[in-house]
Amino acid sequence: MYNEKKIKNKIIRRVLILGSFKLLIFSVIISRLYKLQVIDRQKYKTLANNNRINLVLHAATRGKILDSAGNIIASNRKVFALTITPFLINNINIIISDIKELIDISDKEIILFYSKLEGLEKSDVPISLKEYLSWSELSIISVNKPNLPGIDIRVSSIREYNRGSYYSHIVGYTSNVFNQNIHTNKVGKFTAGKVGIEKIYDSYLRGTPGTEQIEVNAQGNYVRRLSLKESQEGNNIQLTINSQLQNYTHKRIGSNTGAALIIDATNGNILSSASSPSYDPNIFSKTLNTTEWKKISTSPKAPLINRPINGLYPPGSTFKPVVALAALKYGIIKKTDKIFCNGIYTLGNRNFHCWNKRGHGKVNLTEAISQSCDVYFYEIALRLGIEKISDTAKQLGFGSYYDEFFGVSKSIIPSKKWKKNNFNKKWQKGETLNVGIGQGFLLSTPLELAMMTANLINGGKVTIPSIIKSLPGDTIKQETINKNKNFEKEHLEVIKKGMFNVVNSIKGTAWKSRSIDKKFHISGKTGTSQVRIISVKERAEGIIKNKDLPFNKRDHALFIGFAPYKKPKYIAVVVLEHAGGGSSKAAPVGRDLLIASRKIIEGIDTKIPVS
Amino acid sequence: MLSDKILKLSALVFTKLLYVNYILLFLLICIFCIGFTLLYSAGGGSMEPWASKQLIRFIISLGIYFIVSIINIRYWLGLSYYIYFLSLVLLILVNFYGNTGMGSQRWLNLGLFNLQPSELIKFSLVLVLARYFHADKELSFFNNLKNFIYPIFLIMIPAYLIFIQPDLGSSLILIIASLTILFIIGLSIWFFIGSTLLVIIFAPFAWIFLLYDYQKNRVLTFLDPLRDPLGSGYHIIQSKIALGSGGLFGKGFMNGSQSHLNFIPEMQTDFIFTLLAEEFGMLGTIVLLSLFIILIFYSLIIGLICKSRFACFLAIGVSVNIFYYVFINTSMVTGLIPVVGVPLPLVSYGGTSMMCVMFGMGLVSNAYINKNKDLPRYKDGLLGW
Repeated sequence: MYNEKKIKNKIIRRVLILGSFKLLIFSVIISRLYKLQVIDRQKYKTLANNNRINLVLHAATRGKILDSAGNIIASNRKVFALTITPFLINNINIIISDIKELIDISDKEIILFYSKLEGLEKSDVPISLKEYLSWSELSIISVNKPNLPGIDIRVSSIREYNRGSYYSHIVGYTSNVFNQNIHTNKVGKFTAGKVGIEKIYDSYLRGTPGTEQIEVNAQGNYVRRLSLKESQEGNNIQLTINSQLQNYTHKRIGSNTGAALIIDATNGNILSSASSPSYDPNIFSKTLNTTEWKKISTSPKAPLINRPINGLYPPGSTFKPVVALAALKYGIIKKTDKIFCNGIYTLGNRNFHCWNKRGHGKVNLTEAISQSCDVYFYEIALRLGIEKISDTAKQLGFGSYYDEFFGVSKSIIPSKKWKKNNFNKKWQKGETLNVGIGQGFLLSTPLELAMMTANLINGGKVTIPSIIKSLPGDTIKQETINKNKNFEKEHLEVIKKGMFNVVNSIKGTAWKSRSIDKKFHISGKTGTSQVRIISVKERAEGIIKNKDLPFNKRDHALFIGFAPYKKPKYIAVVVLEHAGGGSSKAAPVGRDLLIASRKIIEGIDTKIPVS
Repeated sequence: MLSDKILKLSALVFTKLLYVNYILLFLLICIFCIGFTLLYSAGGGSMEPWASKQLIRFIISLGIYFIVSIINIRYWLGLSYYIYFLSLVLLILVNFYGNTGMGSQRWLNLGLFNLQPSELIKFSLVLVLARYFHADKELSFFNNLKNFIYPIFLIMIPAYLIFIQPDLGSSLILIIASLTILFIIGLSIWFFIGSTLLVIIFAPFAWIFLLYDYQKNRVLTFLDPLRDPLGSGYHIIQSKIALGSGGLFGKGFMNGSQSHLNFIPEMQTDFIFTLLAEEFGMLGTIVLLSLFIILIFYSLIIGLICKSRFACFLAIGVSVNIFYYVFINTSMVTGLIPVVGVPLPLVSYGGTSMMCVMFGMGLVSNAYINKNKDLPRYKDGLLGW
């Protein structure tokens, strides 16, 4: 017989085993809960918030860019886009054909729309169908909006340069950058400076974007707003540019290719800076179309280059004052010493020609500058040697990198070491002669020529260029003008006198560009820089006239000038590419710029001789 | 005369009602209240669409609980096989007429409500096993091969029927729960060791020949949820986030962001535990788990104090089933085991599960009422009573 009690005991034993097993399982589950809910809770809280909270950035209004008088150069314009919210629409095709009956929608826009729609067919994020609605399109859509569910007008702002192409190189332009939110893949559109002031001072102009936290559900659709921090408008930036002068400068250059700069001689402020040809910066504010971009970027005249700071030109005779100053400084020559010029200077078996075939006869330093005698400068350059010339040039500001002008190209001031580094060749004496007349390896930007001029005529003060008049939250460079300890005042006076004679003596190369106003004597130096080598054969047969050469072989015309003579207020630098002679082409432009500066800033007319 | 009889009957019912186990009832109501609160929250602070229906079901289930409790235990003993065969018929029917859910046929639409026979069979199997072993004298498995083969058939037929729905999870749970009951009854430890070895040997074949792709995916995803974070891993990841982010005290009633923003699909059914964890934190989960632990152990103890084997096996069998429900559901949502469609008893939204659980608890209560009653053994014949 079976034993009921024994069976009962067995069952109790087994129940005890089962009970312990259950307790074990529950302690595992509870420790699991402890791990998830207590130990790792912070991690999961973060994950839960990442799930539900979507950070939306609102672009701030970009700061304005103003000229020296406070006129607006760059501001913002509201633009309107037509958007469709797929979530609210059953059949998108029907809605689009409805809209097409109201306003013009191109096939391209429709294709673009569908490509953006992909994967967002049920999303509540509005997708744009047509950007930059005109006023009439905007009003048609607004009137018909009640009949078009899911259709909205999105307002945004784009950069507007209401003064157009005359300011494009200084101000630069902006374009849209896309900022992707990593959690939601939603893309926000932001404006960022690409070139020029817009780029250098982007952090000032940009402002602080507003942040909005919204709660979204698992489908990514809006549930409610959790917080909103308004965007902060960007700061305005005021430039030293005088708009009237800027406009005038551009108009005066006209269709020439080249650069012109006007600088306040007392403090280095840039009053106008023109680069020709130019382009309309507004095209970059909208979605840039490829053909337009191609046209600009591949144009042989390179309109995108900001010539005053990025154009590298052989300075030609405008460099002669530097060589003259070096000669005085190192005692190579006295200002009264004369050198005979018969039109040719022979070094070894090579002939170096003066621009005046007949020669200048006996000339002293001021005459050599005013008549731009090449032979005189061949002689003193040879006596100086390349090192002394390049040292002097550097002391006058060549080759300095002016921080504020981001992307300023550095001029090339050749030396023995430079040639060794770049060509791995020994320096030749003939090359020194070429540098003596501002040719050869020498290359400089118009801005550096302006700074050189300032340093020559300011009675021994160092001038630093500036284009920012006021910048909130930042102390602007103090107008501390240091003494240039490298040069003696008398030497600088001699050079200045020479430059006076360039314009105001009858033999001077810019005699025709003088003024007859005693209070506003124009001084300066012309330059004609060769961009080709004239062969011996050509010299024998007669040099080909500039206008008979192909455009890109023609000489550059240069002029550096300042006025008035005694206490210079304005400095003008003009570089006209392939325009011909400096005295005939560049000097008149320089004179006009100086006279216009006086007229615009001081309101005084200047008399010039009737030609 | 007739009124006398009615009076007598009602007096009997009333006295019986006095004996109904109210501790058990109290626990069940507590658990239901937690579930009801969660469904109210899941509905976005509304009785619709879930809370009100669940309340009606619970009231009906309470009726079932009382009726099952007070019916003479002899009738249950006699009805065991009928109920079991009825459940089997329903299981077969569901394979032909059932409504499809998650790729398998699981529900019978009975007009008023959907019946899920795989839930019903869990408790009818408890009944039939209790009945079978009640009748056996020695509870010996070695001397009597019949004792081994009959129960295996009783278990494997419904398990197979559920398996071909196909619902591997429920079928496995049925087998494991039944084996646990056999273990209590006295099946040798060696049987379990042997069958575990067999499972290990046949697992690779089962993987290749028996499992559907979605089932394989679930297992693989369980092993590495990040394998497919937007597909089948989504549930596990989001569920863990909901649990973890609840912390100690939770985000507060109706403030569960994971649940309310639809990051957890089907949160009102199998994943309702995550809603509790998110809104009431570890505090909430511990309270609910404690209620279940008390319920399970209390039922076990009721089983032990019962004089008759039938009552004893009934209470223990129901307790085992409730245990597996809770264990599998909570382990699943906490990422301890792969996703298996098992509801949390009385808490998850769903009619059949609630009614079946209340039916089972009614049996426990019935066992409690009849704890001192001796039941005659009935050896032969399936339908003797």
